[in-house]
Amino acid sequence: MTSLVVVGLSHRTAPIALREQVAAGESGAAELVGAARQISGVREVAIVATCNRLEIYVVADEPAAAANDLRALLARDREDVTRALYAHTGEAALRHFFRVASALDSMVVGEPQITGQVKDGFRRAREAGASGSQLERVLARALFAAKRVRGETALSEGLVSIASVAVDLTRKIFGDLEGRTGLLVGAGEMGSAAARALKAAGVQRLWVVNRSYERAQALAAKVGGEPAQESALPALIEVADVALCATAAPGFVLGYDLVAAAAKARRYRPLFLLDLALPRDIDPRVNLLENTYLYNIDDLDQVAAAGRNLRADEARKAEALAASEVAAFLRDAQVRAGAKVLAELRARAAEIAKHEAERTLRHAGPLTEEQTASIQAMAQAIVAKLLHAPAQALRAEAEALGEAGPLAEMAARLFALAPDDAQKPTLVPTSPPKKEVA
Amino acid sequence: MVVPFVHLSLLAYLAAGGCYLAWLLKPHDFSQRWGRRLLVSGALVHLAALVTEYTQSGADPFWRPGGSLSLMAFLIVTGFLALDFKRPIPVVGAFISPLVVAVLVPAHLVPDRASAVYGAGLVLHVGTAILGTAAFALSFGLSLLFLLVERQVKARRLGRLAARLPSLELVERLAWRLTLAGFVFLSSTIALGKFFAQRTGALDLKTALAYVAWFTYAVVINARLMAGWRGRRAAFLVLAGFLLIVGVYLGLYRSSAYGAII
Repeated sequence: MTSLVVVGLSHRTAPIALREQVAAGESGAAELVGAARQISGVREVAIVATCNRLEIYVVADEPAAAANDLRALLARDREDVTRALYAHTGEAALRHFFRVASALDSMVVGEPQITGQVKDGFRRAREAGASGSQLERVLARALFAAKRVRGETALSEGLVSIASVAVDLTRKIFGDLEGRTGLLVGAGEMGSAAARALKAAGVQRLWVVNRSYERAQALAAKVGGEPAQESALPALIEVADVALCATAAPGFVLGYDLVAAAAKARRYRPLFLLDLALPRDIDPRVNLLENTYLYNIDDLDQVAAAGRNLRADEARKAEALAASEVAAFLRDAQVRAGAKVLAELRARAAEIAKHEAERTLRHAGPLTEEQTASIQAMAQAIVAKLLHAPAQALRAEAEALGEAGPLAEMAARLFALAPDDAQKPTLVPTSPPKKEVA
Repeated sequence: MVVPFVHLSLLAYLAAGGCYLAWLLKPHDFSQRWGRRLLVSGALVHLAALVTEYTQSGADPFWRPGGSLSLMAFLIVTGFLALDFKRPIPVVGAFISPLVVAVLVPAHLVPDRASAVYGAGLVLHVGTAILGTAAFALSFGLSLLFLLVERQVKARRLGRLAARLPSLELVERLAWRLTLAGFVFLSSTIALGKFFAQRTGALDLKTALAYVAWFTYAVVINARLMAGWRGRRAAFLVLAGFLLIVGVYLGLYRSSAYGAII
């Protein structure tokens, strides 16, 4: 039977040093998708790659075997990576994905960026032709759960995003941010969000540096900053109060010597550096410099932990909500299997009614539009009334058993429907999700 | 009438300290509000004590050891309240209240010896010493706070206190200004003291410690202005400077001939 499988590592299982070694950029993710598709029994693939996690989601015929192959694919014989990997299949994988999409497994619980990152991962898989209807339906329901978590809990209020943690820490060092200067290096999503938050908090000037000046211009327009050439970086770090780094560079963008020279030139005025990149952009040794404070993503997690504790009640509510959505999703999947017979029966009956109504209309001679509509409605009404009782019985059976039962089988045989397809439980519901009453 | 007033103010300062400490443990507005109210009440009663003292005996008691300490405690409290009303810093209250109590208690314990020399010079000498020490006491409290906050920020381990602590720059800026003010007063104190010492020719441990304290603060200020020294290093020097000032006072009150050293 096909099942959802997830294999990956995250900030919960791997420190930043390990995560940056297995981090997959856009091309790396595409390669992983391609390799995962080669695994026997894998039907659909999607990847969620953020600074804090790398996860491969597949729909596979043999979940256990697929999980093992995916582990091997990610670990590449590395013992430390193997230890950090986790794998879930079936309902556990669904639960995990719903929690990830709802930002319940995020470093900063409730942060809003993860939804976009999950969507991006699935969009890329769709464009590569790697994901199909099953993963798409799981995604749709997970996003629906995420929307409920955002709308029905206060989880996203207060100190929730990396951006707001960054602003809070900057205030801890500088107090009022009015008139301060900022520097954004790179175009990472988290960096841009933090830069926007700093600007909103009162930072007066914000320089944006990127390897490509055109990109810097575009980003500067987006975050309300001023573009600057990459060559100006050493000069800018001398005057900025806070610098955010979020590039995809493989090495350090701000090395120890550069920052040490800048610290001296700025006469050791406080400098706050935020490294939001993976692999890291700033040499960790710069934190040893006087009045220079460096925080990377894992450090922000520690700060966010306090926020997590404060919102523990909301998190519990959100967890319950996500769990109820997983349960509803599974129930839907099973009920739809039984209800598929009913849907096909209705479709068949509606088709017959339409056909017979058209035949009658052809022989009835010229009629007004109202008369035509009336005959068509009558035919549909006869069908609906005839099927009302059998439909109720089939739905009740499906809901009671959680799957297609003897009645569904009987109906399929009586009306010559496709019994195999109808009775096969599927991973996903066949209709859009309905909001569950809490 | 003076003593009951001082006792009342002492109780109020103690209770305020308790409120601020309670605020550190659990940051309720209630404890912060009452901390400030008690400190204001204590300062008002203290002021009443000082005014009563002045109306009864004139300015003379303030230039004696006990009276000067009492005046200094009052200045520390009012200095803190001025800062706190401008921008609430209840966490500093938790440092300052015990410090004020520590200054006010010995004010009653030291023998109330009469000054050997009276006159404008003495008044200026003791007055600037009191003002300078009050400023240094506040900068000492702020520097301690700075080291506490800085340590947490640097180690990326913001504890439960973190949300209640003011920003590093605010604390550093206040400490710097108070250090500057204290330095000006200390320089004046030493210059005036030197003038009197020349008359008697005496130089003792107290005076030597005052010179070392002055030199320490001079290093802090010079390093900041010339080399941009700030932050942790400067805070440690400010702590060291204040400990030397405390040493000056200990030397002053352990001296067997108070009048002789002026």
